[in-house]
Order: sequence, then structure tokens, then C-alpha cells
Amino acid sequence: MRVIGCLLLLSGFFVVVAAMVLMNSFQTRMGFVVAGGGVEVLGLGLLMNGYKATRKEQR
Amino acid sequence: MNPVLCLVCVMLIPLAAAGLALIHQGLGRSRSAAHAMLASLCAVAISAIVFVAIGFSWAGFVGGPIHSFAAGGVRWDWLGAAPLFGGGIHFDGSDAASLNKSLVLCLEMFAAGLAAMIPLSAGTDRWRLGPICLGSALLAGLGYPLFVHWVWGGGWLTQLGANFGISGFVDAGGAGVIQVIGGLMALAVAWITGSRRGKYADDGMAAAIPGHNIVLVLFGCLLALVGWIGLDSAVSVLFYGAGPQQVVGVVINGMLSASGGCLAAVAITRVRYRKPDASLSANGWVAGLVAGSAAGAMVSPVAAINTGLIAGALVTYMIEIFELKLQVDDPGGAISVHAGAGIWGLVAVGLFGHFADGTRGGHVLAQLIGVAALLGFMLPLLYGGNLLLNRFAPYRVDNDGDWQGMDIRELGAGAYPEFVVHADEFVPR
Repeated sequence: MRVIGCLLLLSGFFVVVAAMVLMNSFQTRMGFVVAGGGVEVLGLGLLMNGYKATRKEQR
Repeated sequence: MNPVLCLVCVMLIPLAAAGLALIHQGLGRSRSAAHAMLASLCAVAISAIVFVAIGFSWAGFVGGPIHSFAAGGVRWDWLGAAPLFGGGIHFDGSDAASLNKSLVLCLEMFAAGLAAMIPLSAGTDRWRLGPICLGSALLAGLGYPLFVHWVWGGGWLTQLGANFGISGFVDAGGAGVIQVIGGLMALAVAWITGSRRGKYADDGMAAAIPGHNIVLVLFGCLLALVGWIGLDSAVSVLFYGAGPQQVVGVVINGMLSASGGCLAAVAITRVRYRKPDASLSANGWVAGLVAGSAAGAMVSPVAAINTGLIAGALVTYMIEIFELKLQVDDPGGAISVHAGAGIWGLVAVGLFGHFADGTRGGHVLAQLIGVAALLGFMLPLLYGGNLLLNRFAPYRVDNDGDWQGMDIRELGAGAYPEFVVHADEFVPR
């Protein structure tokens, strides 16, 4: 779960960078940057859940 | 650039480190107080040496040698390529350009120490001294210089305006470069070290482990204010061309933002718990300083107050969410205070800042891209690096050491030898 979380964080970052290169208008860039941020939040959520799951197993 | 003004501001920065050290040790347990202070000294010492040896080479400076690549028709300046050990900088006054570079080196060296101290708060009472030194070296040698180059070294984040026609990413006091980087490292350390023994019951219910000396925490807040003002002013002078008039604005905004953060925390804890919570109010103060440091003098005093108010409110809730819902044991609240408030501060610059060029939307977009780089690139880098170090040098002290306290376990003597009784020594193990 934690590996996937890290990969999602990186994916979100590359979505943001790709938006800058591939898009031209402000609206589409902003849309993709927000979408990339959303992917990062998903990754962060997975990392948090992975940590909680590990703690439960340890108990 | 006014070198005397800049040097005076730079020389105030160690006071921020002193303030943070007091806050960290005051919020920890008495049985780990000496360890916390020694860890702060070691973190500052290691990060200074590693940054000057390697980090500054990668952080670079505007107009200096760089590593770059071309993609999408754009040149991506991603890493500095200055000589190791600050080579090429002359301190004998023979080279006028060296004055600027040496001031940059001095500022970034102190700032590296500040960033390295932030994770100590999240690892209080269980992070061993050896791994603390290794973690500080990782931060000062890899994570921090990389982002410094992107923002203050003329890297791709500052070139967003020139390359993509929006605006450059702005961080006029190190909210992203120092605070968020340190806060994300704190998150990685908290995940790796796990919680203190006795913090969570089997059903996941959290127990309160109050800080042992709130007076030191509050004194640390006042000390940090002086250092923060110096830091924000020095960054504004060196990287954003601020003169004496703007520095006055930086000082006023810093104070207002910290005040807003503290008062918001006092008011919220007063309403929620019937009495103001001193440690959360101290965290609100630092959160205000952190959030306000993103803007320097680029916002109005009213916007600085609003930034601080929101940061203080945000932090009181974030600390609770991290502790109760996410079960992340962060004794000093470093993740919320430095990463959370830092990210808010960076966004707030885009929302409230007044700039000579560019549109409001362009500035918000640039700030969001910077935040995405911090979360999407720097967090996995720091987490992965710390996981790797943890394999070779386990971060967490063993369970007996957790009970005994880090002072006795790692240093062989306590910080307060006359106070030898701990309440939980009477609890059967």
C-alpha cells in the first residue's frame, strides 16, 4: 500500500509537470494541476492508511 | 543589495534554531530533555558541515553553473553544479561577486540547520542520536539543496514565468524551502519510528503525554520570533531584492502573522476546551510565523493577519487529526505546524500577494505547482531515503529505552538528576 502511495504521489507530480508542457490555456492548465494535486492527495491517503494498517498488525 | 543589512539579518537566524530547540525539548518528556537538546545541536552541526561540503554545490546560486536537460521545448534547470566545499568563493574581499555568494552560502547553511531541527520534534523520545545525525545529513545533503536550487538558485520553479508565461514560484522566507521540507521529513520520521510506548491503547485510543516544561516552550516562541524575522528579512534581501523599506514590511508582517496564529489558537482552544491550551497556542504562534514567512513584504498587514489567523486555526485541528484519526505520534506537532502551515502560507501568497507583474491566477497556479512538487516529489524522496537509512541504522530505540528515557539510555545521565520519579514507573509493565 505504501509503495503504491509513493507511486501515486510521483504520478500526481508528473501530471502537474505535464500540464505545464502540454497545455496552453490557463483553464486547462489549472484543471490538470488541480487533478494532479488530487492524485497526490490519494497517494498521501494511501500512505496514511498503510501506516495505520501496519500499526494494527503490530498490535 | 545592502550587504550590511543582509548580514545582520542572517546573524539573527541562529536564534530561530535556539527557539525551536527549546520548543522541542519542552514539548517532550523530562526523561529525554538533554537528549532533545543534544540532538538539536548535532542536527545543526551535521547539517552545516554536509551543506557546505556537498549541499551548496547542488543548491547553487542564480547565474551559477547548473545541470539541466531539455524536454517539451523547454530547458529544465533542476540541479546546481557549483564546486564542492564552497569552492570559488573568496572571503578575502578580492572578488566583489563573492560577497553575494558568501551571503547566500551563510544564509542557506543556517537554514539547513533549521530544516534539520524540525523532524526532531516528531521523533522526540524515541529517535536515536546516531540515526538523527544520518537523517540530518540526508536532509542537508540531498532533499533541502534540491528544493533550494529550484526556488532560490534560479531553478525550474522560479523559471515558470519565463518558460510557461505564468509567474515564478515565490517563497520569500523559506516556508516551502525550509519549513515544508522539514515538516515532510518529520512526517517520514514519525511513520518510521512509530508511536511512543503507551501513547495508544490497543483499541487505538490516544493517551495525552503532556510536554514537561511549557515555560521553555513559550520562551522558545519569543526567541523564534527574532530569528524568524532575521530569516525572512535575509531571504527577501538576498533573493527578492528587498531594500530597508521592504524589510520593515517583512518585520511587521512577520509579527502580525505570528500574533494572528497565536490568538486564533488561544480563541479556538478556549472555546473548545473552556481554557486556552498553552502548547497549542505556542504551536499557533509558530504556525503564524511559518505561514507568514512565505510572503515577506509581498502582502498587506491585513493579509498577514488573515494568513496567521487561518494558520493558527488550521494547526489546532490538524494536530488533533494527526494524533487521533491518523494515529501519527508527533509530540511537538511539527508536521502540522511546519508542513501544514507552510503549505497554507505558500498558497496564501498567491491569493493575497501584490506583485508588479503577472495575473492573480498565474501566481496561484505557480504556487500550486510548487506545493505539488513538495508533496509529489520531495515527500517520496525523503520518505524513501529515510526508509533506506532505517535499514542500516534503526531509527527507533528499543522498548526498554522508550520507558527508561533517551537521556539515560543514550547519554547515561538525565537532564534533571534531582527529579528522578516518573509517574509511570509505578505502572506495572
